[in-house]
Amino acid sequence: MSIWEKYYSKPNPVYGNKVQFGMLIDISKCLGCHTCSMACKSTWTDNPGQEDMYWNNVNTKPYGKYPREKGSKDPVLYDYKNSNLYEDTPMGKYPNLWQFYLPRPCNHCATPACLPACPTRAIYKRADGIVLIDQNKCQGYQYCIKACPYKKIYYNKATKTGQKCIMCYPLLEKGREPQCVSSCTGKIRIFGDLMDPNSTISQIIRDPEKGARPYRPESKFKAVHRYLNKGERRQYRPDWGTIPSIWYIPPKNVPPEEAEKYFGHALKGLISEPYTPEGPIKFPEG
Amino acid sequence: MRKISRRTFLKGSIYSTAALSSPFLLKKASLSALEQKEGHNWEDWHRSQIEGEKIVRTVDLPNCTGACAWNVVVKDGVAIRADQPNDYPDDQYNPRGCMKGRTYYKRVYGPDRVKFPMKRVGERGSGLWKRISWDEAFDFIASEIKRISQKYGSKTVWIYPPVPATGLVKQGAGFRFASVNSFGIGTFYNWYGDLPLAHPITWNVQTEEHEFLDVINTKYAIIWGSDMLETRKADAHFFTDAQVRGVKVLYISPYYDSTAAMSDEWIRPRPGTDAALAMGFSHVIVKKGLVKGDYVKKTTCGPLLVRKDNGKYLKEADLVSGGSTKNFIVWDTAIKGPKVDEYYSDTAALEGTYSIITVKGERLQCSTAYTLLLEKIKEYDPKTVSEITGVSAKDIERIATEYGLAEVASIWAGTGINHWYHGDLMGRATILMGILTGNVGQQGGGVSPWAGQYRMRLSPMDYFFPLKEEGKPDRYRPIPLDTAYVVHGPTETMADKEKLWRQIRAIWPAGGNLLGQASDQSKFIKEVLPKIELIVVPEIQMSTTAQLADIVLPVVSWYELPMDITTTPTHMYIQLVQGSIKPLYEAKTDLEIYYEVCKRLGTGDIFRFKETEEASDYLLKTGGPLVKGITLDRLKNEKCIRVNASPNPFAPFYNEVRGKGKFTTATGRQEFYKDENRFLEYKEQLPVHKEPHKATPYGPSKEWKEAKEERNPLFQKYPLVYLARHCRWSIHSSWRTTEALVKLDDTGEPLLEMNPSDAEKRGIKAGDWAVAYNEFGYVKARAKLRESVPPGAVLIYFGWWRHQIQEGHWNAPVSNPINPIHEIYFNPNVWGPVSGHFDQVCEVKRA
Repeated sequence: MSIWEKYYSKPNPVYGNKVQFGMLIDISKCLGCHTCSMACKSTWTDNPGQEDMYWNNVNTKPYGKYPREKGSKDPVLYDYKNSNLYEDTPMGKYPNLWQFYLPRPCNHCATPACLPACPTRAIYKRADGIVLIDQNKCQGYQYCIKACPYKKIYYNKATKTGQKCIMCYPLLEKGREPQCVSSCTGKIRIFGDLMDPNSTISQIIRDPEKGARPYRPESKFKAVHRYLNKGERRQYRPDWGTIPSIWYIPPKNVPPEEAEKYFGHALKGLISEPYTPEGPIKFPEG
Repeated sequence: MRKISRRTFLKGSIYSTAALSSPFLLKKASLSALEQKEGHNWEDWHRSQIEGEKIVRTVDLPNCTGACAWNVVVKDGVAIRADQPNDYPDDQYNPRGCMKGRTYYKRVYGPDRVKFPMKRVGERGSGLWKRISWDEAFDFIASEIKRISQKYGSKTVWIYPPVPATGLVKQGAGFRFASVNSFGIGTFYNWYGDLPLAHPITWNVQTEEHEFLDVINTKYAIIWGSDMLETRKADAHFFTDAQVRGVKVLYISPYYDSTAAMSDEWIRPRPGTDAALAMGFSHVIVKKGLVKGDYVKKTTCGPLLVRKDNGKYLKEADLVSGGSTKNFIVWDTAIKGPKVDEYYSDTAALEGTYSIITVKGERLQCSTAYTLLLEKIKEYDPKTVSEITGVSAKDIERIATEYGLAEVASIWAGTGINHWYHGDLMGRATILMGILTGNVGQQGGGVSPWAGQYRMRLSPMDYFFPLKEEGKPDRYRPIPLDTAYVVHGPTETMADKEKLWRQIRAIWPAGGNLLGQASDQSKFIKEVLPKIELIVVPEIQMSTTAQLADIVLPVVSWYELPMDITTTPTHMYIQLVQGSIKPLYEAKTDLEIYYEVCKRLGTGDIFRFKETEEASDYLLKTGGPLVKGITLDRLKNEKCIRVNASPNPFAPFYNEVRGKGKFTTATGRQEFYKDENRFLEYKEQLPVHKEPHKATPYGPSKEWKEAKEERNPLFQKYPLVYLARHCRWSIHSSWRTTEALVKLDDTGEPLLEMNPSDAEKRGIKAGDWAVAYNEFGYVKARAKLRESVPPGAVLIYFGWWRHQIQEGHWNAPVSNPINPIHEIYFNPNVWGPVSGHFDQVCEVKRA
């Protein structure tokens, strides 16, 4: 729990925010339907320059990857097209096949890597913990794109700025959940303030037994029943050290040692190398 | 000034709405954190993106059984997106709707919208069109219909009406249009292969399934041949939720897909052997004494006596002179003799063979149907079943025991075990499991075959088939012609050929992509289309059918449709569909198009409806007991109302199995034994496993004992099972061209998917162009190799439009011979030829 104490029980040591919005996502229940991606896309990134930009995307792991490196070591040259290659391509041989869907929005990290990388100081962390890029200040240097280990900042060639998930702050301000949460048909996402010890999300993350009960919104808000699996709550690639605010319940039908490669325990040692195996299928370039 | 007022406004809005109704318990700190800080004015840009002048709660109308509600956000008269309303009265159903509903606005404003009426000027399919006015279009259609009617008869004008429940007014209008003009009308539910014929066979109902909410009651769930996660997006969460509560979800399918990845256990039988597997389960259930004898005795045909000499049920007329042929006989244990059956009787003997003296004084050996069933089930011991299916005997024993021991266990089947030539047998075998264990009729139990949005939760009789005179029973009716025969041609075994067969001359697909999605694609295009003199296609987009039409008419999208009503089998709500934007281009509603054509044919007054609101109102008023008390005003107000049906959650046959009213079958009981001549002739009086008609290496359409000794010559030539199946990215062909979704579908093109071992044998590498072919046709696409596809099978996700396929068509290798069992009766969409889309074979080579 020390990660919890260090980052969520007192104001953010660097940015001072006393609120940190985050999510808990139950991977085992993910339908792989991409409704979250399209909910996001139809609301925010349906404009010129954003054609291959998915603030929230879903991949079939282990082979799916977005963006793909495509021979380049420079993230600025990565390939954002065909964001869902290797869809439903499992690993292993019958009968021991496994795959899982990994939905990924921006992590709105407690110590974001993108923010200090910005030479024009366009990136800032709001008092609610949401990390934003000021579109008026951004000059399009793309250092943030190189800095973010999750590759969740996208360069818009039309506006010549970096853009990323905004955690639907305009909806939060109206008392509504983010689009990817409220429209999740699989009912796998819970949203809330990680730093509030009494919020549903922080209670469910701290007590892995709690998820088995239906999530009943404490208020009259139009939120829905959600049943989450029991089990440890993890972050995706916590070893990158940015303290992501998106938490996951790792998939149960995946060999534990494989799940560990994605949802390692930050406190139980770091994973040294990024893990994305080469897909078994090669498609012609272009 | 502006800044201050904006901040005050925001603050007000946060405290007044968010604080009272926040999902995530916004404490003071969280609230103040949301306050806008100085210096980041750019944030207003995103705030402006979400605003619109109005929000309309409506329902999308594809044939996916979802019937999902959306809040359409309209800004400057343009539908900018659809949000999740999360307003179903039972919160378990929220949220409802997937990425397709989310992107429907892309189709509304898509580049392939049909904008104005067009007449073909080149060859069919050449893409050469002439823009015409609506009046020209209506006049031309009316004169052509008149000409064809005079030459061949009005019943050769054939309306193809897809699933009416998706939009009762607009889809139902197709029926009304056919009725008032005495046109021919096609079938959809059986011809799609969606009708589980086992239901009319066993229960004399079209189909009865549990609403998805009922999954919350189950203690053990078998998903059988239905990729719930991909194809039942709105309801799949009921299963993952059940898992969280500790319910085991078992998945039976030859393919490793999303549902297999999610389920607690995945079983991979050889394609087309599901009936054997189910019979194997039943064998174990019987062997281990897990049969609910009392239930079987009281509610099924089990105790009814069957004559040994001819396999027919023993009737009262056989015993006494003047006895009824409609009364069935049981052996009564109280009087120790034969007695006319009474439903739910306790004293009937379930087992035994008895010697009965007939009215003619003959001595007849009669066994109870259950005794005959036990004999049949003996053949399916786990070892034999393992040999047939490839599932280990140990697994068969264990799963059957788990199923039989569960307090209440459910089977959720899909087209995977219905799109087969012998799909009826697979259905009957799975239902048998539910019957033997007493699960049918229980909440959390039952056998639900999910396919197609056929279910209208009101009686549409008066709207579909208008009365000729108020108060008299005579109605205007269309003349049915099963779509299967339109494509296949007549058969010798069809019911009432004289009345039901004729060569059609005009096709009017009323809201479906008939030519794009038709099975037997090769035959339809090459042999049937040349005989068709007029194809009128009202369409939203330039679908494959529109591309091959003579006249294309622009129809409003669901956002432009002023009003409609929709229902679905998956939940019990009747919902209002409302327009949010004005009709685009020159689009008109289906209703208006029919009305205008009727007017020119002289039947406008009978057709009557031009406005969708008027028709919606009429449907509700004449809808019968299910919608009693549900008026249009109420529906406008509440948008979504549960129909009058119990229990809640809905479970069919709930009353029947409790002795309150009997089944509507001839015996009044659940019939696992059938005695119609053709069942006896084909030895299908009891559920059996027959090898697939085509997709088997063994003797086709034969029982195992014979089949295993034979080799299927067709399979030696085409040794791969060909499967064109549903995918997550489209509802049949709808959304197939929506770029936003196509981009997310792997490489964004049709892919022939194979097991790497099969590909290697044929020298095919991933990404190579490959051709899947057989004697009927072929399709060319790139190869995708993955272990998910079992060796010996080829899979292609379907729905691709004519212009998206490199060469051939994904339905070209598919052909559907008609099973004579499906022709015993003909009742449109209730008993008719069920297509075996999955019972297909092909060979693949590198292109």
